[in-house]
Amino acid sequence: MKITFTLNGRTKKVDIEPRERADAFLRRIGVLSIRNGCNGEGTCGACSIRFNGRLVNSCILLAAQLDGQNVCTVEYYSKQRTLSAIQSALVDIGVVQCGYCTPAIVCCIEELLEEHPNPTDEQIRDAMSGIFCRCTGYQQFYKAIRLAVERKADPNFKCEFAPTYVEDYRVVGRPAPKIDAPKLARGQKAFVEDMVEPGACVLHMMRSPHAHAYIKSIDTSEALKVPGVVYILTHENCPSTHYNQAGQGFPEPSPYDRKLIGDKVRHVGDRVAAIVAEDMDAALEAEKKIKVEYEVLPFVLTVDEAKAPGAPIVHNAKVSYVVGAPDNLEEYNKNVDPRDGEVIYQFPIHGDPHRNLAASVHAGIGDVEKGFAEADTIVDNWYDCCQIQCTPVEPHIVYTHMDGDRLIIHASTQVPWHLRRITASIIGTSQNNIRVIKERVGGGFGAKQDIVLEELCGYLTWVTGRAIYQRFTREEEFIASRTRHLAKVRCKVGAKKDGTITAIYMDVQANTGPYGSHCLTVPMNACSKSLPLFDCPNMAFNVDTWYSNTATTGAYQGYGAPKGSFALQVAVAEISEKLGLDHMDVIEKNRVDVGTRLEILKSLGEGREGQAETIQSCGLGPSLKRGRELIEWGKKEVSDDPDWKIGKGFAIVQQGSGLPGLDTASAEVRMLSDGTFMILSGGTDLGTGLDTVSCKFVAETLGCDLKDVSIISGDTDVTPFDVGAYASSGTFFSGGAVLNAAKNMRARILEVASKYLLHEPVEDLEIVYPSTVKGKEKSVTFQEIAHYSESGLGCGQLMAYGHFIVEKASFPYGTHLAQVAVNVRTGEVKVQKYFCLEDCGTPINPELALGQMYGGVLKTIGHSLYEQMIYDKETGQCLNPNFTDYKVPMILDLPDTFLSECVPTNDPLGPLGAKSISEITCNGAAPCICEAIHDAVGVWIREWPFTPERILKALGKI
Amino acid sequence: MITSFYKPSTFAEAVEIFRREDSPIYLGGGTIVNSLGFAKEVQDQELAIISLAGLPINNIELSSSELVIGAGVTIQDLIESDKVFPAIKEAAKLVVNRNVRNIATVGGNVAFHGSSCNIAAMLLAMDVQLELHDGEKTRLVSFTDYHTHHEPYEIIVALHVPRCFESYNYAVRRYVRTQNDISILLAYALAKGNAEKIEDLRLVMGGVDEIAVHLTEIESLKGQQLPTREDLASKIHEIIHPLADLRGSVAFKKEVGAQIAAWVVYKALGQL
Repeated sequence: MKITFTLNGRTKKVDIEPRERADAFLRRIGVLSIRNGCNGEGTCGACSIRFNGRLVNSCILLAAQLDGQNVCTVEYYSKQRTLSAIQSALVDIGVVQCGYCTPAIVCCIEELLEEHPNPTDEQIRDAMSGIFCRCTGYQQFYKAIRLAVERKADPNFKCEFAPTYVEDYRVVGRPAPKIDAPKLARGQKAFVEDMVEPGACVLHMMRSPHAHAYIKSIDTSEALKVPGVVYILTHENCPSTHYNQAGQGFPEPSPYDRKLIGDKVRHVGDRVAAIVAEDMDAALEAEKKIKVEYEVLPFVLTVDEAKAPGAPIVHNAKVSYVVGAPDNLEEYNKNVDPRDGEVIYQFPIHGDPHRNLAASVHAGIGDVEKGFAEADTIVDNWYDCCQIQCTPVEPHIVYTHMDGDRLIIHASTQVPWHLRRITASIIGTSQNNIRVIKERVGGGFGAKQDIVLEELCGYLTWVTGRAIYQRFTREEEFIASRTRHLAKVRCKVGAKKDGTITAIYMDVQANTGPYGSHCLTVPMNACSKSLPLFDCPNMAFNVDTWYSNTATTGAYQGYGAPKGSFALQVAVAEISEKLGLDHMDVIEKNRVDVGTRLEILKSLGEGREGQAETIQSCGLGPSLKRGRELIEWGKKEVSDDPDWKIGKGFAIVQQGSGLPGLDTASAEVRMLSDGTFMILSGGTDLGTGLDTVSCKFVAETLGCDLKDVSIISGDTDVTPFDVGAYASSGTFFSGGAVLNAAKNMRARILEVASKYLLHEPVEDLEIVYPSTVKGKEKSVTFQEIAHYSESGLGCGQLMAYGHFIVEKASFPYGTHLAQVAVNVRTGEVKVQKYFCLEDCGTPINPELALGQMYGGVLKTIGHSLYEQMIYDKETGQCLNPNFTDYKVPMILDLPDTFLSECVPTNDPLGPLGAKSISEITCNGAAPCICEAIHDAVGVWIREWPFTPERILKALGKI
Repeated sequence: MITSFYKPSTFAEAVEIFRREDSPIYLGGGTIVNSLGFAKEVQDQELAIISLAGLPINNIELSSSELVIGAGVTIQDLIESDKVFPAIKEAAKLVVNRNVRNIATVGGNVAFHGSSCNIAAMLLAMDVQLELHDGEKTRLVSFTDYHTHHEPYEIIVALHVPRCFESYNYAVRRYVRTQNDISILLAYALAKGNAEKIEDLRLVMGGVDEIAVHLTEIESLKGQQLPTREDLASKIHEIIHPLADLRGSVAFKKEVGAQIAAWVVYKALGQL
C-alpha cells in the first residue's frame, strides 16, 4: 500500500507493507536516528518521534498510521552541521553519554519547550517520563533543559556546566564537549545498526525451551528448503573448539566450557540452531521446520540446589587443565558423558565441575578465630542478592562481512581485541585475517565485555561468505546475554565495645549459571573491593561459585563488588547498632586512609599472586565529612504523615582502576601536516567519555587546543592493542597510554625543533600554548615543525607511541548516603535524598564524571528496590524478560534530592592524578538504603531487592 | 500477522469491513494492538486492521448534564482539556507515561481494559455510559455491561460521564513497582459527606479481579459513620481476592490492596 505523509517538513509518498511498523519503516527510508531498545514493547522510548507534534513511540505505530500525518525526527533539528539550542545544551551539560537515546530526548525536549517555554521540574519529569536512559541517571537533564531555555533566547548563553574541581590544568578537569556528542545528538550514523548494508542476511537463533537437556536429534532438512535460508548451524556441524565467552585477558581464569552450539542445552534460551537467512521471515519459517528431539534432564536454579548431594550435573564433562592439572584427573574423568563436551581450565581455580563447582578460593590474613575470640560482639548473617540484567538500551548487536578474504566485524563491544582473539580461535584462522571495528556502543555496563553473539556471526560469515546481521531482542538480552551473578554472602564481623573491628569473615556462595563466565573473578571481587576498606588485622574469605541452569551470568558494572559491599557494609552497620555506637563513628574508627598498608591484598590477586600495597590517595575522610553535613547525620527526621517513617543510612565504597600487572593499554599520537594531532587509541569508549579523556590528555600535554586533537579508537586494524573497557580501566590505563604517547610526542617535538629548526638545546626549549615551541631566542609553531618534518629534507611524520602498565593499584573511594521514607502499611520505599560523594582523583571530564555517578547510582537504586529476574521453578524459564515486568528506574523514580559530587584527590600513579569513576558508583545504594530502611522501621532486610513484600513480611504484616 | 490495513471515513464503512474480514480488529492509537505482547498473542492470525482515525470521535463536549468524551480522544488530551473534571484527570495521569498518553485513546483503554486499567476504575465509579455504533445507529450501554453486552463489530464512539460526579470528592492510589509500571493494585474512590455521615461512596478496585470491580460492601457504608481506618482496611482485606503472580503474593496484594483502598476512602472523605 502507498502512504503520503510529511517527514521533517517534506512530503513523502512511499510504498509500505500493512504490517510494517513505523520505526522499521522510517529506518528503511533512511531515518537512522530511530533507535530500538524494546522491540515494540513500547517501554523504552528510544524510537520516539514527533507525530503531529506529540512525542510517541514509533515502535507501537504502524507505518500505515503515518498516512496523512506529520512526522518529525531529530534530523529536522540538525540542519547542516549545526546544533540546535537543545542539542548544544545536552552536549555541554554532559548528558550525551552512550547517545543511543539522545535523538529521542531531543525530540522530547523540543515538544516540552514548545508547550512550556520555561518548564517546571514537574513538567520536565512528565515530558521525559517515557524515555529510558540507563547511562545518565537523568539528574543533569534539569540543568541541560534550563540551559536550552536560555539558549533559545540567546544562542551564545553560557553558564557553569559543571564544577571545576581541579584548577591545575588548562584543559583537564574542566568541562568541554564530549568528542562524539554532537554526532550523537544529531542522530547521525554511529552505531552498528547504522553500518548494515542492504542485502545483508539475518542471523536468527533457535533457542532451547528446556533448562537442561541433551539434544538427541535435530533435523534441519526441511528448514534448509525454505526459500531464502542460507545456512543452519547446529551442534552437528559446528566446530569442536571449546572456549569461554568472557572477554578477559588471556589466559583467562574462566573455564573453556562451551562450544558455539553444544550437544547439551544448559538453560532456557541456550543455542540450538543458528539460522542464516536472507530475511527474518525466512528465518522464522525455517525455525518452525527444524525438528528437535530432546532428552530432558532435571535442572538446578539455586546454589543450594546445585551443591546438594545427587544434584543434576550441569557439566558432566571431561575436565582438563592447560597447566597445573591434578594427578587424579584420569580417575576424575572416568564417568563423564561425552555429550557434555569439555571443561578446560587454563590453570587451576579449584573447580570441581562434577559437583557443579566452577571455581573456589579461600584466603586471608591474620588469625580470624583469634580476632573473633577477642571481640565483645559478633554479627553473623547471610545477605542475598538476586540476578539482575544490565539492560543497555542498545541490545547486543553485530554486523559481519567479508572484505576479500578478511572477516570484518562491526561490534558494539567493550573488548575488541579479546573478540578478535576468541573469534580467530573458533574459526581456526590467524588474527591478521580479522578486523574488529568497535562502533559507538549504546550502553555496555559489563554485558558487552562478553562475546555473546559476535563469534557466532563471525564464524557464519566466514563459512558462508555472506554479510550477516544479528540483533538481540530484549528477551534475548535477558536470557542469552549476561546478567549479574546471584549470590548469597555470609558476613561475620567481630568488634570490641569501643567499635574496634577485630575480625571479618566473608563467605560468598555464587551462582554462575550454565557457563563459567567470570566465575572466579566476579564473586571474588565481592571480597576484593570490600575487605580493603577496613584496617583490620584478621580478615578471611571463602568464595565458591556453582554452576546452575539459570541464564548465563557475567560482568556487570561493579563486577561483584556491590554484593560484597552490601553484605559487609550492612554487617558493620548492624554491629554498630548492636554495640550502641554511632555507625559513622565506627566507620571512622576502622576505615583505611592514605598510608594504610593493605595486607589483605596479598590474598586478593586476580589471576595472579596478590601483593600488599600502601594507599596512595584516599578521599574517604572528606567524603564522610561532606556526607555527614549534607544528610544531617544524627538528626532524626519525622514525617508529617504517620504512615511514612523516615530513616537514614550510609556506606563507604571503593573500587579499583584496572588490574595492575594484568591490564595493558597502548596508543599512538601522530602530528598531522598542519601541526594538529591524531590519536590512535586502543581504548574502548562505551559512551563514558574515554575518547574525550584521551584528547584532553594530548591537548594538555602538547599545549594545543582540544579542537586540534582528533581520535580513532577501538579498531583492531588501525589502533594498537588494549585489553578493553572493563575493571574501571578506561581513564587509568587507556588514558594513561595516550598520556604517555603524548609525553613521547612532546619529547619528539622538542627534539626536532632543537635539532633542525631552532638550533637551541632541548633544555632551553618549552612547549607553550598555543601549539608552539619557544626557545630562548626564537619560536616555532607546530605547523612549521610538521611542514619541516614532512618535507623532502625532513625527518618524517612525527609519531609517538605510548603504553601503560602499572604494578600498584589506585583505588577510588567514596561515601554514599540515603534518606528514605518507608510506608509501614504498604512497605513502599521512597528515596527522599541520595548523596554520592566520590574520589576519582582528578576528574578529567567533571560533567561526565558526575553523569557516571548519577547513572550508576540510579541503576543501583533500581537493583536495591525492584530489579530482579524471576524464574519459574517448574520450567527454569525467566518469567520477566521484558521491561513490562523487569522494572528499571526512569526519571519519575529519581530521589527527591539527588546530588553527586567529586571529592578530588591527586593520585600519584594515575594519569594527571586520575583514578576511575564508573564502577564504584554501583557499590553504595544497597547498603545505605538497607540501613536507612532499618533506621526508619527497625528491620534489617538482608535480601536484595528490598521489595514492599519483603518489608511487610519483616514487619510482621503478612 | 497484519495482512491488511483500512482507514474508513464512516462508521458504516468501518463496520462493513469488520463484518467482512475474518480477523478484524479496530485500531485506536495502537498502543495495545501494535504492542509486542499483543503481536505475540495473535501471531498466527491474519489480521485486518481497521483504523478509527478517520472517524469523528475526537471531541470533548460538556453539557449541563454530562461530559461526553470521544473515544478517539487521547489520554493526554483528556488531561489537558479544560472541560474534564479533576477526578477524571487524576486517573488519566496514572496512565504509564507521556509517550503512551500522547497516542493512547480513551476508547482503546475501554475496549482492552484489564484489571489494572487506570481509566476503568474511574469509569466504573462514575457510572459511565458507552455510546456504541453498529454502522447504522448508536446506542448506550453501561461500562459495567460493556464487555458482556456488545457486538464485536460495534465501535465505541464516546463515553458519557454524568456531570453529577464533578462535585464529588475523589481519591485515587495505586501500587506500582516503579512510576512507569502498570497499576498492580488500584483503588479509586468518589465520596460525598464526611466521617460522621457518608452521603455517598463509590469504591472501585483494580488488580483484585479480572476486571475492575466495585467493593459494594464498602459502598454500603453510605449513610453511616466512617469506621476506623484499621476496621475499614480489615473489612476490605476480607472481601478482595487478588491472584498471586510474579508481581506479588496473595497475602501481599490483599494487605496492600486493603490499605490503599482504605486510604482512598479516608482521603475522599477528607480524613487525610
